[in-house]
Amino acid sequence: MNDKNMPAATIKNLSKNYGSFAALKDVNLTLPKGQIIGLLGPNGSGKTTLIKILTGLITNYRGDVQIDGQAIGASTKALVSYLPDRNYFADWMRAKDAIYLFSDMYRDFNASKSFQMLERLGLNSEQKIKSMSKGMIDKFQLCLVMSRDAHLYILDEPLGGVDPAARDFILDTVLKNYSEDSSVIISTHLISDVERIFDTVIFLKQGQVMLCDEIDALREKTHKSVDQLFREVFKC
Amino acid sequence: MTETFNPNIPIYLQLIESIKRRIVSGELLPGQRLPSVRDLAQTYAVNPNTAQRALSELERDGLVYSERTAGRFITNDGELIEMTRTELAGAQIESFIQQMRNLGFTKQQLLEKLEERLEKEDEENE
Amino acid sequence: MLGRLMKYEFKSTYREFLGIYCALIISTLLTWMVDLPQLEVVGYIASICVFAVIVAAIVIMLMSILGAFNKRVYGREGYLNMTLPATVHQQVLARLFVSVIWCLITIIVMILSFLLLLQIHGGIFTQEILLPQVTDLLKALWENNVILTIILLIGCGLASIFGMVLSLYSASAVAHLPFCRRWKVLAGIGTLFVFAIVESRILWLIAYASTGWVEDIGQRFSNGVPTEMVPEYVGYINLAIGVFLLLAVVFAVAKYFLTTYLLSRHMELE
Repeated sequence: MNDKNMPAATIKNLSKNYGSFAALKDVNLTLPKGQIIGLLGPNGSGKTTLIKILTGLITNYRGDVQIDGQAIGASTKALVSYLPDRNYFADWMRAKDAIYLFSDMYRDFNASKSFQMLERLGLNSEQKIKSMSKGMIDKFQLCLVMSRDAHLYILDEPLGGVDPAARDFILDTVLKNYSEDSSVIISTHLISDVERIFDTVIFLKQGQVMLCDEIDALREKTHKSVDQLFREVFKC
Repeated sequence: MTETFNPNIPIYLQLIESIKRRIVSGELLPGQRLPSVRDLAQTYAVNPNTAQRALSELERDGLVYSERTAGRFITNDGELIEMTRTELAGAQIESFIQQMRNLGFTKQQLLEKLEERLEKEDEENE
Repeated sequence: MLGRLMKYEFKSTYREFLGIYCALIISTLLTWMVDLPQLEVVGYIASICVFAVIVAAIVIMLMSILGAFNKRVYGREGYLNMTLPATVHQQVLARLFVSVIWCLITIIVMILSFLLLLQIHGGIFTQEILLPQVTDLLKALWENNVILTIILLIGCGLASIFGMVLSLYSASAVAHLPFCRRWKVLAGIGTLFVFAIVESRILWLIAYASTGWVEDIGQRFSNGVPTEMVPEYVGYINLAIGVFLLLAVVFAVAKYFLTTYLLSRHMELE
């Protein structure tokens, strides 16, 4: 099942409605392996919906979604490392409890790496997660996610509301963990800080894919930065 | 401190230029070993594939060569480095002349201004 | 994976349940201190309080079971739990088994409290006549097939507990369906009502279909049950209980598949 040419994810004719509101309209995407992919779009464009479908948190949709050639399920969840835009820990957990849980549940999790990252962040593993500041929790969640050796990392708005130093830390961590066998999807609407690390960018507008291209090809074609292009495509 | 790149132009081209500049200025010495693609990507805060592409082009140009297991190294070819220096300087000169022309300077005025400035620097150094 | 999920479910829930058990035992012990011979009334009032605590314990326990499911599947923690590499079946079974185990422990604690109460106010265990009576009783039960009855009754009880927990889970799954979202509580209660109605209807139908048979038996034994016929009579009772046991299992299984179906095809975490 380890085909070098198999894309990290394939999405065919994906549609998802919330009642009468169409969050995703006939989305077709092929996400290649070994790339850092930017999923860009304003709030409400369908980024989070798409991510929830990939991670298995939404199970009613139309279309065909596969990760590493497999349908979304327990086996794909083992391949995906997901960083949501919220704190998802139980109230009783200390940092080390979370690390042990990940260690228990995920075969590709590297606990010592996680503890090291904790130390570098100046966090105490005995500390209750509830008592950490929001910034600390965000960084801790990132540690856990990046301590896994996954095929697909999905980071949902990791940069919103963080200070520049934290932003650098996040991007640095992503680059440090890069491997040719895995892909990283970063969804964000803060583009200028981050566009230099993307291979491919996807523009999502009102549930439709406006653009899905390799970034250097885009730059050469349009002589514009992704940030500029974004402003043009999403002009109010 | 990460170098700022112009997001309007392909990053790999700017990365190539940055490395060329460092070779020409002597910051990177002939025969010196370059960091791995991943380390390079991290230092410059760019995508690893971008870093890979830049290094491949530099290899093609001959400024960098790779030894299978040992990694990538700066060339020992002094002539090539000189040529690169000339090439980079030429680009700067072109840019300077163009800018001055845009400000309305003639060739004569341009040369005068240049001499003035360089003489002042000599005086300050004495 | 199932074992690991159960381990974490226990870790998440034990604090609540231990609290309930402590409350039960402590309130029972308190009635002992209020045991003043002259003021028997106070003792009785205290006993009523213990019963009230038992009822409250059952209600709190059911709410804890439902709350745990809601919180860990559909709440904030769902983002962690539902992205773990486990199948829907493992997720539901893990929570189901842990909940049933807590129920059983609660029942045991309630029985202990009850016996404790009897001991405090009636001293049943300090009387010497008890043991030979108990062995006689057990022998009689065995010879008359009643041991099987007891086993079947326990089976019914167990199946009912599973069914009850699964009712809560199904109701939660229905309440969290996209189109029910705005009326979650109503949808949940409505689902429980529907289950109650459907289940009682089916039970009634079975009872109705077997009236003929029951009347026959009633006629045969209308003049009392002769001693040598007791095993046969008990056999009929066992049959009846067996049928209800089967029904309870069928209901539980139906609700289980409803829950897993809704989770695997209609889940939409907010």
